[in-house]
Amino acid sequence: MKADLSFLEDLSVVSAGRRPAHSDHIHYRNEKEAEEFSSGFYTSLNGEWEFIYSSSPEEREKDFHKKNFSSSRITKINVPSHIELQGYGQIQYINTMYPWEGHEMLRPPMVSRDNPVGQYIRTFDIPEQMKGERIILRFDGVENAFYVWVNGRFAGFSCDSFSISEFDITKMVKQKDNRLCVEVYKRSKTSWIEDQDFFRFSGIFRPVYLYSLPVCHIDDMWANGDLQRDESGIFSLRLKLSFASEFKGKIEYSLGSFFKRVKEITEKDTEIVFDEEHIPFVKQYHYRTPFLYDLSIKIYDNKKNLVEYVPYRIGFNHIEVENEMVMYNYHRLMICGVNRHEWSPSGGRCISLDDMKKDIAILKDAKVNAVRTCHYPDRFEWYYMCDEAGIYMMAETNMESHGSWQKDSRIEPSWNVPGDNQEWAMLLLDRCRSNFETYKNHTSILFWSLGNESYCGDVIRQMNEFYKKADKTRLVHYEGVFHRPDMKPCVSDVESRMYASPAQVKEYIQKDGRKPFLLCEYMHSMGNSLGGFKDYDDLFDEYLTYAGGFIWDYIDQALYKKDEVTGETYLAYGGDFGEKRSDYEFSCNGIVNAERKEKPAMQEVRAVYGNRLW
Amino acid sequence: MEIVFGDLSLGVLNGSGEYIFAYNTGGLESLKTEGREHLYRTPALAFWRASTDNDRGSGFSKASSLWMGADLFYNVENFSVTADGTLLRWDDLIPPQNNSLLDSPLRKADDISIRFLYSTVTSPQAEVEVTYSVSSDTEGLSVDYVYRGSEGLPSFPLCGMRFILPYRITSFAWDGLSGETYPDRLYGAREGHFEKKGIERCPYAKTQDYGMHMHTSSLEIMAEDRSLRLVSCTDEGFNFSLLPASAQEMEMAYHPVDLPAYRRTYLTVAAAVRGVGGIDSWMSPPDSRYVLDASAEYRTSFRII
Repeated sequence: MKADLSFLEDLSVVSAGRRPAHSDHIHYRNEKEAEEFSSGFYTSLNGEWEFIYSSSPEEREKDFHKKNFSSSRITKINVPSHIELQGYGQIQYINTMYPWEGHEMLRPPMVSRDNPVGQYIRTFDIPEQMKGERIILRFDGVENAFYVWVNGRFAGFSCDSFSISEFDITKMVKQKDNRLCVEVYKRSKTSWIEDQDFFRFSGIFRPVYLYSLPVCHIDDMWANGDLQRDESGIFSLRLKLSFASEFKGKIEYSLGSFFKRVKEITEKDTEIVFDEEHIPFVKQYHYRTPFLYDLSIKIYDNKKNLVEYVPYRIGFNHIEVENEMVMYNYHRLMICGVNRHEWSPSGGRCISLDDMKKDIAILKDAKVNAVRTCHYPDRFEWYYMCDEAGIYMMAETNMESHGSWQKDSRIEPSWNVPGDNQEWAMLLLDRCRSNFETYKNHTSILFWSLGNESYCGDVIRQMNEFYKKADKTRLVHYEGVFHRPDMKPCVSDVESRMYASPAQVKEYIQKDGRKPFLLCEYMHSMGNSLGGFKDYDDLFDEYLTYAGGFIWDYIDQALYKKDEVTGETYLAYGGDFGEKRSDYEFSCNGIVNAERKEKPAMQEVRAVYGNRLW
Repeated sequence: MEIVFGDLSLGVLNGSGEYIFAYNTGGLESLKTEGREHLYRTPALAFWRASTDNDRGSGFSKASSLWMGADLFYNVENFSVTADGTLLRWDDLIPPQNNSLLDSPLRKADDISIRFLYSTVTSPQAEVEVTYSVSSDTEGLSVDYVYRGSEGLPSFPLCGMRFILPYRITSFAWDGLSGETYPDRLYGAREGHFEKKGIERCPYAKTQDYGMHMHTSSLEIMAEDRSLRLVSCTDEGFNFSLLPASAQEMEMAYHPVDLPAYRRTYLTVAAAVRGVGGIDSWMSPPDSRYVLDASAEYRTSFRII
């Protein structure tokens, strides 16, 4: 396998050397580690790395991954962070238009020549306890495309900014002084489908880890608790195991105090499907009472040594469409939701666990019961937090291409991607797979969403089909099919619209009404706004098939900047960084400002959502 | 009361309240309580708010921009005084006619009111009448505001009066509704007594109108060495905002830090306020229930103490 610059534009290259996506469970060496949330299988690679910034691919140091490379150009950078917030390159906010609008005439999948490159270098040792184990290198988020070398050997390539990318580097590492080199490109072909309404950043912006796999490891698990109408529960568990060598041992799993099951295993048992368990009474998972049961899976070797321990928290729920209503746990679902970008005024989309904890507290306090991960997978920890807090999730696939068909207020899809272009299908289906496989165990996820504002065509139909086949326990959402009514039978379980007025909602329900109705975006909270919110709340009483909506959006995207005249720090938005083009203050539509301070309209959110649901 | 029939002004002294109404600037020129001044300039007609994102996005600001000018400039058409039931017209009040008032019993009148008639600098024009009244048996100064519209005028974001207080406030308290409220954002507000320390700062990244408080029955403004109270004379109450800058200064500012240093306080008392909208992205106006009709009549009444 050789790294090649052509990967950036070649649609047939989805990734190189990347491990298949799998569930986001954390494995521990013992229960004590789990109690402390500190797995001995993991080690962080965050911190200060060496760094070379180039404003174009031509300027990059082509030999930087080689052993004796040295250069006076090497500086330092903090990992994780956005390159643009560390003093390199151009900060730019732009909404629907592509960032190269007015600078270059491009069509998909051409790659912009304005393509800064960040070359990251660091060394690492294999920690004592990981010696002899299989070694995985894990990136939780790198924007937009990157190549990885370990000790001069090419380990792989990925170009999905918001999904976890992992590379098996077992055969490339030694005990000490491993040299890890990562080359990050700001733009690639996938920039066309990562046109989300946000600041355009690049770099390693989420954590990087090394982790190791013991001799027998749970690569993937799918645990599901299905609530029955009579308040009983059906629990299913499916595991995929991998082995480093021959193995004899047993696997033991339990759910709460309901039961414990034991199974003898050998290295041939790479897939285990446990019998379904019927539990006469379970507490349901609900946003008011987000009850989760402790799932514990332990693998022992034949000397009864604990090899690996995987805990997870699973709830029992059930979602389906019945009589054009979204039914959750056999009652009508009323979504009081909000769209949430990951944001920090100092770090951009590089956010901390503290930021996320604050978000949970703010959402609960505002009586919000659902969040849409607009329009990409979030940090994996967010899904765990939503599980625990009782915040339902619409888990979005990393896709938005509105610049390819929305020209200001005109709809003109002559070169829309992905559209019907089959050569884009693999890239998009890979994103669906990453989203589904990684987060499928999270009880709070009720909807998979194909992404946002990408018009509709056959590739999107295939994405819908992927989710429907992969997961029978959840609903699939996509709004863009609104523009292709002929495709409604094969895309989206719900009629989803954005910014439809209460009168338009009534019109759909009265005239068409074949699917439940929800608003994936409504109540545009830009500046001083959110007037007339109560009118939507009244729709719940008027129409049983109205399922609610998600406010646009949770948090202003603005960055701390120093006023050049007074030295005063202020919250800067689009255009404040001299970038052209930009959509200026359109970046600020939150119900909280960028510092997570409530905007005045929050009392309206709290009252309208609270009135309905608490 | 002591009434001063000046050459260019009418002075009224009623206990601790001292008021000077100017004929040439067309309004209340000085308002003192306990010997402390509360006015920087004559209160002006208020017709503008710094465009909210929805005002701009819906094209409202563009369609209604003549009201921004009407908020800055206005014509004084006429004024008259009624003292203890005697009507004194403009002609009766200016020199040399005021010489005859030197020995008039009206200089000790128990009830006096002065009515100013304004026209807007719009085409077509609208009319505003403001009547200030003082009585010896009542504390303070009553203000009655009437806007009388004309067909053909575009909708405005608000109509009312703007007082520029020549000082920074330390706090304010009001009986009315919690938080920031607009006609289409009342549902979440609760009724009660509320207090805020200091002036409210613009909570929005792009500077725009904020801080409206609907349906207020009383407002108390505290500064270091003086305080001012407004009490509603109507059941529905008045609407007010207390801001550190003018609507035009805020209109032009991209960020709150772009505003001039906070020196004076802009008190707007509005008879009517437009909703903020936001239902349909940023491209639609608020629902028609929350849009003002510039051909209609709007009134408010309050007492300044």
